[in-house]
Amino acid sequence: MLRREVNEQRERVGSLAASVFRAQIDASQKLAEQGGRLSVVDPAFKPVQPSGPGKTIFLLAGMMLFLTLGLCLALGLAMIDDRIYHRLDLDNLGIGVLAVIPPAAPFKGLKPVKKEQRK
Amino acid sequence: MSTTSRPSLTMTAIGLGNHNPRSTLTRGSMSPLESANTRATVAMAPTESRTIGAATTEVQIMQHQLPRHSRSDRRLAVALAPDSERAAAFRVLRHHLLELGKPQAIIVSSPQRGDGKTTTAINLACALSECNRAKVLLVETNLRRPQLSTVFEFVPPRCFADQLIIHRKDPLSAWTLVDIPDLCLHVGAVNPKFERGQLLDGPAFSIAMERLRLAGYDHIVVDAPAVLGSADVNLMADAADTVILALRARRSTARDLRAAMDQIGERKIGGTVLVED
Repeated sequence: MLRREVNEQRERVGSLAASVFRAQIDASQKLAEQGGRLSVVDPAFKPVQPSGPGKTIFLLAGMMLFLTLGLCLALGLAMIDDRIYHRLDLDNLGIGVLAVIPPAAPFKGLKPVKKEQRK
Repeated sequence: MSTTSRPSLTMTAIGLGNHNPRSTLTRGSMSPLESANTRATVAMAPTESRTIGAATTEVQIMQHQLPRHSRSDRRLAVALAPDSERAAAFRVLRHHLLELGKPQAIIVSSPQRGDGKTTTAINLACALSECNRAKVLLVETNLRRPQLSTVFEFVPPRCFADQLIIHRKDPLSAWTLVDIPDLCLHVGAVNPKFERGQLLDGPAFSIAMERLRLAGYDHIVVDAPAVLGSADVNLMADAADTVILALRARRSTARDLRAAMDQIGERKIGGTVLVED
């Protein structure tokens, strides 16, 4: 008997809470439709000059940063590069060099044979 | 004739012992047209074979005129541009090499492929043949990437690799080589169609060197494969007097050079040649 009354009271409280929630939603919708009661406290304004350190400083800092990184990369690659470029590299290795062959000059080819010579 | 077909060869059997290639030079005998089209083929006069002790090394020679046209291989520096700085550098190489004690069998190799072995071998052979009327033989043992026939533009009458195999069984049989009279040079080239899977036979190479030394060549320049990646040069080194390592500037590395020198053994290495592009 008592349990049934408790259940009835619970259902009643639940329906009342749902009604209150719906009423609050309806009220907020009506306020939004009427334009609400909001007011501008601090109006936005257009800045007269750029804020922060500025483009030049960012540009210089970026250049310095990447120049340093590039130099470090080049230095690192040069340190691990063991290719032989000059005779001096072989001399430093203590290996005898018989000759250094320079690059070939551009080959111009032979003069074309004239038709008269062909005959 | 079309300039695209390969020049033909004329075969004449000779013994090389008393034969000086310069004595049968045909340089200048070709007309400009023949020179330009590289079609001239000149037969070499037969000479007698030479006997040293009980051994006779017979060499059959097929003559081939060096092609001289705009598409000639630029690796022929001494032949095509004899007055160039590059040709002079190869003569300096010859000079320094002869200071090592006039080696007869010279192997030209490099740590890796593409380092200038063939360029060095060809021009060294040409430079050696210019000096003191020396008889010079240029042979190729790079079975994987043969180049000599492409550079000189001929089809080898008999593949040098095949001849190595044949002479292992029959060391007294005749060698077939190509004579290039313009350069006073004999060439033993590998046919580009040679089966690439085959490995170099070390004992066969030793027998070949022994026989070709007896043939009376002052210098035998061997265009060998790269040192690293195979033991071919190790097999050949014992039969040679010295090994020269070609290095390509801006490409060859000190690590590869050290590894190649360790593999061959520093005792056999006569020096290095730095080839700039």
